[in-house]
Amino acid sequence: MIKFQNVSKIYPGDIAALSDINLEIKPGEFVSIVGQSGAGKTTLARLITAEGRPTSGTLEVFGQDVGKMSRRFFPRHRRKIGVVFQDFKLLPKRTIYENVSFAMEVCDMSDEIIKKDIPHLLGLVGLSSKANQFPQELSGGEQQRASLARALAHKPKILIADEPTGNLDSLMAQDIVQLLLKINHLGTTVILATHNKDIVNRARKRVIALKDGKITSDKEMGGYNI
Amino acid sequence: MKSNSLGRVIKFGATGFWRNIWLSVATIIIITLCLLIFSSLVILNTLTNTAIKSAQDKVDISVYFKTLVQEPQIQSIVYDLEELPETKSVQYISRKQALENFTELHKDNPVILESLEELQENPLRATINIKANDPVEYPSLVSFLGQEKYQPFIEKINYNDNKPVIDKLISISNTVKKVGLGVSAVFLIISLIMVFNTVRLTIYSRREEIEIMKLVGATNWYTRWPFLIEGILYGFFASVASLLILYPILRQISPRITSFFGGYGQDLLAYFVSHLWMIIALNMIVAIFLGAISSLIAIRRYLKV
Repeated sequence: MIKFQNVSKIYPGDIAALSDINLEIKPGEFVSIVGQSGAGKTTLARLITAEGRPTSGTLEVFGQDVGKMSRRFFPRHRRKIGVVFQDFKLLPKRTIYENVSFAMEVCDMSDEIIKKDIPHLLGLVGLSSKANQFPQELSGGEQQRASLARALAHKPKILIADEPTGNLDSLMAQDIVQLLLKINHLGTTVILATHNKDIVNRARKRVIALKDGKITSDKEMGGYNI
Repeated sequence: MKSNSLGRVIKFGATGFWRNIWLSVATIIIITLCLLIFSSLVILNTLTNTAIKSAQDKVDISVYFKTLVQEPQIQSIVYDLEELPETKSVQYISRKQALENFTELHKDNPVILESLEELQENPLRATINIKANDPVEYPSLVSFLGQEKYQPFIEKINYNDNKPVIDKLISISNTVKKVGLGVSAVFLIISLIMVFNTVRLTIYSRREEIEIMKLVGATNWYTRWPFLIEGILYGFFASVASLLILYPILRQISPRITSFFGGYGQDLLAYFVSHLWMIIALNMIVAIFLGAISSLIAIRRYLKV
């Protein structure tokens, strides 16, 4: 489903965010990508969503070469992926409900489905009572969960969660991981980028360790040990 | 785009307009000011043209005929003149009428009236006053009258007395027209740039929103539409505001201008009212076009996500 072949990403100023990454993620997998901040986790996620092209190497997602994909196809590509952004990326002047519904409207989902699904989604992340509030009125953890609700709303084939527990207390973090596991169990490929040791160990799934833009280990049923 | 999506982006754009109301108001104020500048330029140009025209209307040339010339002769000259394309009007004043005018004018001055009695004969000459369509055409009218066949009848043409005034008027009106056009063009460009820059800042302050919309999979057009709707709303409200400001101002100044030009001036308010729909339509089209185009241009660079 996702295949990195000798992928490097070099930002202006010769900053190598990723170098020579080889990695394959199969449909239905649950992969944790661990590493300290600056290790390249977010860059990896961004390449998958075509928010930047590899400097060298090829990256295939859904069997298509993302590095060579025309901009015209970006929207369609992104609609198959859900992302929980590290900085949430919620529309500031839209309520939580509207933020989620926008993602669904973009995917051309019908009004009936939108009306039916959103209460369910917000209930799933524990934000039912915050539906009509604006992002700035919510705590960091709540915004993060709103971002997760939006990422799930259009039923993506791949879910990328970039530090989804960064602003949550450990209890809430475990809930979120349980939720991600459940989503994975229902067939969605999940990529979890984090530096939270607890949640990775608890998941008992494949763990890829990144350091300075390179993969240092790739273990099935791994644990966090950097 | 499906009608469903169109409904969605219109709703999304309208909500954005209200949620960012202060940003919207600031943008509307700028567009309103530009529309007022635009309208003022149109009014000013109309006034200038009226002023020039009323001054030109006061210019004419008078032809004095010899006292012995008979009326049919004069009538045939008038007829010849009226055939000319340059001629706007020819007014004939007979000797008898000239005398009546003169007595009427000096009816309170017995000395003049008495001396007139003394003469026993009408001393005044028959005249014709000729107006040209354009002041530059007076010289050709004068040379027309300079033909050999008219010489036995004409005593004097006062063109040469008026020539410096007429020349001056021509040069002033030409300069005023040119300067007016130049100033209008400059102000028009300034106000266009002002609108564009304001809309650009509005979009700039919301570039993050555009990025987010793109990242959750919106196409370029789906992202553009709400901003386009907002731009159209800016234009709509700005044109309404400018008309609401313009109307009372015209009500105030219109009578003064009419009296200033002593009947020559157009009644601005009447003009405004009689052309109301055209003015509203023009205002709306200009404003909405401005708002929409500025939004489209300004948003371009932020779509590359």
